[in-house]
Amino acid sequence: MRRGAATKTLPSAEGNQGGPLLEVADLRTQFRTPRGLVRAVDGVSLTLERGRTIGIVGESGSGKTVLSRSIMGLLPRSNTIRTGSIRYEGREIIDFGPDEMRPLWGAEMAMVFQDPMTSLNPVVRIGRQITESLRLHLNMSKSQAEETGIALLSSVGIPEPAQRMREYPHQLSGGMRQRITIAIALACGPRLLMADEPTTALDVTVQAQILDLLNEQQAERHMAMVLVTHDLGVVAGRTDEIAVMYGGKVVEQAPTADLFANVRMPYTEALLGSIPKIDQPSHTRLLAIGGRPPDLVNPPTGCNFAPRCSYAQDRCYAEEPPLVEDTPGHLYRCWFPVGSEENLEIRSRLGSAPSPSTLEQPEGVLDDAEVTVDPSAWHETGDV
Amino acid sequence: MFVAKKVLQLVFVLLVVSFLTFLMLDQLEGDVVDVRCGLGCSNEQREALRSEFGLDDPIPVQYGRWLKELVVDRNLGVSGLNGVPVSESLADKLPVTLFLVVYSQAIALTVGLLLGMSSARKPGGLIDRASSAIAGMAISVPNYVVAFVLILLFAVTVPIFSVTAQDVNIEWLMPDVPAQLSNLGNNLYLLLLPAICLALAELAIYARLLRNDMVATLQEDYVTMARAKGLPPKQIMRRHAFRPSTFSLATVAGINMGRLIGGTIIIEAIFAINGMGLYVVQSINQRDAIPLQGAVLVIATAYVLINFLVDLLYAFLDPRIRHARAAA
Repeated sequence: MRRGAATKTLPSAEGNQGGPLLEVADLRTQFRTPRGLVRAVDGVSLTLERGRTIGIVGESGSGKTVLSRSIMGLLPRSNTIRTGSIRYEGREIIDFGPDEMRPLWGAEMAMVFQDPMTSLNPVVRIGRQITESLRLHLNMSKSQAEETGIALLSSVGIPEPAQRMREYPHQLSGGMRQRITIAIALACGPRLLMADEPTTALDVTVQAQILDLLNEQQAERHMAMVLVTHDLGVVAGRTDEIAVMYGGKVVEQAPTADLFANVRMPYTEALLGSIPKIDQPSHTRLLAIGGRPPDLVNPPTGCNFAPRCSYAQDRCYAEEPPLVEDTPGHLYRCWFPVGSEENLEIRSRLGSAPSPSTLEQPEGVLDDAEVTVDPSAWHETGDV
Repeated sequence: MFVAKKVLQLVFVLLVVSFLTFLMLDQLEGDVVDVRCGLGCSNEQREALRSEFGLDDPIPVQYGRWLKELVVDRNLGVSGLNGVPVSESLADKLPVTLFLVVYSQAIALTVGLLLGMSSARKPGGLIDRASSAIAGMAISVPNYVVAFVLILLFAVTVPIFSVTAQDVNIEWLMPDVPAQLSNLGNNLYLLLLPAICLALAELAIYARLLRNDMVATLQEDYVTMARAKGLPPKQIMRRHAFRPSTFSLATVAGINMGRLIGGTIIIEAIFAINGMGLYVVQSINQRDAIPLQGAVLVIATAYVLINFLVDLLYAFLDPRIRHARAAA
């Protein structure tokens, strides 16, 4: 019954049940700016099976948010160049404009935004915000939509849902609001959920609750999820696969367990090293990755990460390493991967430092220090 | 609490404004007795009239007398020139001006909203650039120039409209509905040209204001979220982007309404409209303090009242304000 709106544009959808839900191949997203072309997403390939979760991890400016919006086709079209291939249910959607995407948005693929303080309309009642897509995509009557909305709110753990329907977003806490945006995203039973840093703006105490809720709902609905975050800790126990992004590129990608057991990319290692550990004595200085993300208008030759990498050699500055497969499904982009003999040799030369970051003066903080690409700062609204 | 504060504010504003008006009139050369007598009075007659009107008292005393009469007797006084009660004149003139102001604001808001919204949908697009150019012209051409051009075009060259609007008849108590409607229609017809003259600059400001706020609103996360729900653009504009973009528009429109009630003088003069603007200027020219006081009182009250309405409108537009006020 919920296929109603979507079947019109995806007649072959049901016939493709065997293939992956989402296949992204060599996706490039570039913004024309006065400074030049910003290569926000630079040749990313991903495959997501039905009901599975992929984590996209990277610091601010790595292109992870642009990637998720680019897959959904939510970026403003003027000044944005999108090439490559995005196949949803076997259907190529990269050339779809807003008119063609609209039946998919909300019905097939939905998004949970980073900040529930800004992603809910302050002047529209919660009930209206949750029922409008139900009425649009599932052709529900007003009372049907109302009932479904209440059921949705209670399914995401909101007490007194009927009363909440009549309230405005500012009357609720941040955690409650994020539950509501999740309920809104889930409303029409999408098969793909994009969660763009869904817990970053929330109190630490509610972060885990929100992530648990997402996992629960995902399992219940057999929904695939792209979980975008800057926090490796968030994706550790909650994803099937992880792609680490740096400077618009995937630099390491592996099944979750494999990634943590067998890190190959120095950047991933540095990210892991920057997570504070509970067994460290208090007031231990946090490890940070020095330097800042690469300029996406004039990316450096060679490896993007080389200027910040403790193991970087001459070759790293000259030649860009390709994305190579290590064990099946484990890809990385490095000339001297962690665990390789060459890397061990470099390490011993450097004095066998356990973590690369201790060697550098931390100049910036890892997260949110530098916003190189911020699509929300984009002054274009033509494609609403 | 909120209302009490507003009433207190109104009383304060009225006291200050009326006293300053008295003071200002006193600074001008001559008084109403000079105007009334012209060259035909002897000095004794002038002095007699002055003491009859109390013009030989010091200003604070005159002001106190006027204030006492207003508060205790609820009486606005009579004109020193012709003895007509001020309340009678105001009852004649205020409705005409109010009608004109509301009429022009209705035109300005309707056209301004349409223009602003369609500009915001494609910033830098054809509609946006055209409306920006038109707005620039509408703001820079003074309304009396527009008035003469419109009269020349639509009342002289092609005589669809009448040159003057002195026949406007604002009648609240008509015997039956059809008569009321036909009178309303006639008033709308007579005041169309003056209303357009007043509306033109305002509508340009409204269109640009709404356009800018709306372009900003369309950058908001909740608009992207509305798009991600698959809502059609029209629904996004209407339900999600419009209301949050109207706060500064409401402010400016409110200020304009208040300003126009005493500020339509030029247009009233050109179209011979018997309204508040002309009444104020005549009173000043005739040094007739009491009618001027009455008119200023009405204008200031209207101004404060409209601001109060705008405050209420904020609460309607933004539930956050509503709840903050309820909590306070």
